[in-house]
Amino acid sequence: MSTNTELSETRDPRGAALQRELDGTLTFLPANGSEASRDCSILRSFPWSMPYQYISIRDKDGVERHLIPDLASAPDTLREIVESELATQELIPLIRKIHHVDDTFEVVVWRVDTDSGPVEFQTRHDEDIRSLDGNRIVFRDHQGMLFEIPNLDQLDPDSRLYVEERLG
Amino acid sequence: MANPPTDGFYSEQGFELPSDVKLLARNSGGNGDDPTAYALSDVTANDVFARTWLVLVGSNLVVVDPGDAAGIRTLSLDVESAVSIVEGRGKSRLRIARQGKLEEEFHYTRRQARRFSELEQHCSAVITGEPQPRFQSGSREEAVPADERICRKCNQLMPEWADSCPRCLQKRKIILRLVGYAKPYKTSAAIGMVAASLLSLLMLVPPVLTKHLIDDVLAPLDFSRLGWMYALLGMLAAVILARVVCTHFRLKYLAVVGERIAHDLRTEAYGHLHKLSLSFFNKKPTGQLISRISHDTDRLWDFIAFGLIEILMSLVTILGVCVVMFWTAPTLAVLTLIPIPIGIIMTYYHTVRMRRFFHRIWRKWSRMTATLSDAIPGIRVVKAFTQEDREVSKFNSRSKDVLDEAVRLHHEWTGYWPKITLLLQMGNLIIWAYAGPRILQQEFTLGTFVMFSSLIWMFYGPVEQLGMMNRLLQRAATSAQRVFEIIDTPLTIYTPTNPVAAPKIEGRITFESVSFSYDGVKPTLTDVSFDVKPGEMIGLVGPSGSGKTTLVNIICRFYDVSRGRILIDGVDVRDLDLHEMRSQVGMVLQEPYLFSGTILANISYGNDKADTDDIIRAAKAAHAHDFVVGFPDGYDTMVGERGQTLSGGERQRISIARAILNNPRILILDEATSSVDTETEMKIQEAIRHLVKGRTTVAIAHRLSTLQAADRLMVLEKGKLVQLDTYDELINDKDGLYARLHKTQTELQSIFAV
Repeated sequence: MSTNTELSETRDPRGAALQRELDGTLTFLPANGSEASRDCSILRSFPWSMPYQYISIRDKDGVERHLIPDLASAPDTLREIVESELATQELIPLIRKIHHVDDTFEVVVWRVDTDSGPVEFQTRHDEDIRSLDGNRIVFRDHQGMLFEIPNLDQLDPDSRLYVEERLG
Repeated sequence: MANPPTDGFYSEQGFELPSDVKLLARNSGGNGDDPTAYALSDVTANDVFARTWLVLVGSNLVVVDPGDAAGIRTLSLDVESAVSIVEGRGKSRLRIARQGKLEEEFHYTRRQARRFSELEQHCSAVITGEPQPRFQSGSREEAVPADERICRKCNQLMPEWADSCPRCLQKRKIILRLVGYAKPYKTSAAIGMVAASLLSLLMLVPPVLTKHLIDDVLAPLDFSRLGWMYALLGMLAAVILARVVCTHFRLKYLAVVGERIAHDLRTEAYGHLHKLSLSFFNKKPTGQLISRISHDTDRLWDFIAFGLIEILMSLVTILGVCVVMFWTAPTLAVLTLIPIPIGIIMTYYHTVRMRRFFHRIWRKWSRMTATLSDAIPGIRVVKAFTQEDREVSKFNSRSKDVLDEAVRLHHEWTGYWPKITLLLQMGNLIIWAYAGPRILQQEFTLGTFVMFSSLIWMFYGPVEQLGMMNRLLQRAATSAQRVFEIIDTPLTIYTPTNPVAAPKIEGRITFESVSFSYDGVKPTLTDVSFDVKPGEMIGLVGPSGSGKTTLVNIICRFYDVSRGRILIDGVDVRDLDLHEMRSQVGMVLQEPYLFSGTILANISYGNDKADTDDIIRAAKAAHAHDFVVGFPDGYDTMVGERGQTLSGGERQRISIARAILNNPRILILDEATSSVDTETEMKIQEAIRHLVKGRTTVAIAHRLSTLQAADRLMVLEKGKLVQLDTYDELINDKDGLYARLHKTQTELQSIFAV
């Protein structure tokens, strides 16, 4: 496999398309009419910093078939399916209120309300709580579930205090 | 409903199928069979947490929604079905298709990933008609990894390796267990405790004596009572002396008891640590383990020697002060105590706030030090990219954060004491106002009043102490828990009760459909089977991440297989004596580890009684002797962290000498990828040739010469064994993975080998 270091080759989205098969899988049809790739997956390159830019379409062996520089300006043939697939495969509940935090022992147990419903989760290390550009907080629980506070300043004072106490 | 989500917060781990769901599934799944696999679909397509159970009964996948009595559906699986997992970011799904058409998708979070992975494998087995993989029940195959145990009480995963759920284990029990460690030293501990209590009581005596001094001698101005005055002074002197003695006894005995307990805990924890499997060490950062054994035990010493006793002394003091006050003048006592509750409340909030500040300052501090440990080791990169200014300003801003936090902290506690003083002074004024007239009316004596004034000040130290008691207990309990966790971690890899004796291994290695997964979700090795004859040399090749290192690790039984068996000389490795088996397996690692000590000690590591002649012979065979003797300190050269720095090639040869001396029956060789100069390379190759002679060798090989020396090559790809043949056969199989790998490698070499 040749390593593709030139972005522009895969950049031009004209004519490229994604297709949802009857069995639910995705097929990528390249612009130049070359061979289609079946059972593709969609990945974000910058999930936190630039979620809608540089979206990678990979075949079932994990080889990148296409890189969408900017989803907003991508043709509908790509954008619609990418958006629906990302919505189906992503779950990052937004935290609305923190009810209780128990850090009696190393493990921190959070009880929160999210837009997906009330949930309890555990964090283990300081790095499990990440603050992105100041007010945006991201939690990764010990099993890998993700939770987000889009803007810490908009949370009620009690909830905010819980987070601030455990943040750098 | 069994296992309800706690108070409506979704916390279910889905490890156990609720009995009512099981019953429903069994009844609707057909002929009353027991479920073979199950999983909890915990989220809907619309991102709302939900509870839908998927239960595989026979060839039917029963969908049970416990919230809805009518919500039972059955999907039957047959040869035309296809079940697959689509992994996503935060949300994965189990996709069920039939005749090429999507039937249904069930969504789940990472929390349920493990069960879904098992369910998918079971479903696939039903579809293809293969025997069911066994890992949900049964003895050995099961081996539920320690990190997947769930606390029955709080329905939460227990921390990675705690034996008992620390959230449910009360603080009190941990402290009691800790105190239990004092049992062997109970005499010393008792002496210390008695001395401490006595000390608290003796504190009360001087104010009482002062009262008598004033009332009996000074106020009456009666010279005839001079004798009494001297007697009182004598008593004061005696009290002072007794206090000195008590302080000494308290500190001496309790500090020593504390040290002994800390020592016992340290050695017990460290001893147990060495028996634990590698998976334990993978999960815990080294630094954290070191801190548990050193820092946490030290903190426990502090708690036993001082913390615990200060709590006791505070209680005794408060009680004593109250008794004395009420004994001498009850009404005055009530008045004196008026400011106390206010003071206690103030103290309580003060400690809470202080705790928060300490917490924050600690975090900011560690952020600051993190920039140091980040930048200083990377100083060459910093300089090369001329980022000095950036690093300095990063540090400055974090140091400023610490400063800001510290200012807030100091503001807090410097505000507290003046407030307490103010309160007490005000209290004193009230007492004056009340007591002054009564002293004049001779209702009270002046001495009583003076005694009260000094006793009231004795309240605050203990109250503050008790305010911190919670935190003190908390910290001790946490530290104790961290140490106990190590001690309590069950051994997952151990020698069975009746091991098969294997004093001298022949060296046959057999893999029977071995599968292995580190996390139970992603398979690292899948269905690997092969047979290595005694004395044979196998070269292990494959792209990175194909499972080579895992394969050699499970031969040494650093981990136990998830499925299948590994046999050495026809005996399951799990039936062998672990120590006996490992002592006959040698390892030469890619990055050889040298302990701090002499070269001699490093070569004879594991063979303390080795003959010097043998050591030199091994060193010669490994081509190490010549350069070692060339060092000014020869074999006595110190290496390791603080010793002489050896080059990569030298370290390699020392580790080869170590392996040769160890004379293992089975040798694991992880060849270094880093290139060395041709001469060194030749010497290493020759050393390896000496090493592999006459032993079964499994070598993760990179060098052509090693590959050609191997009897057979084993090619791994994505955890599967794809080719196993001689070098020549593999080269000639043009479509095979090995021929392709070989081609790219030789192309690379033609570029660089100029």
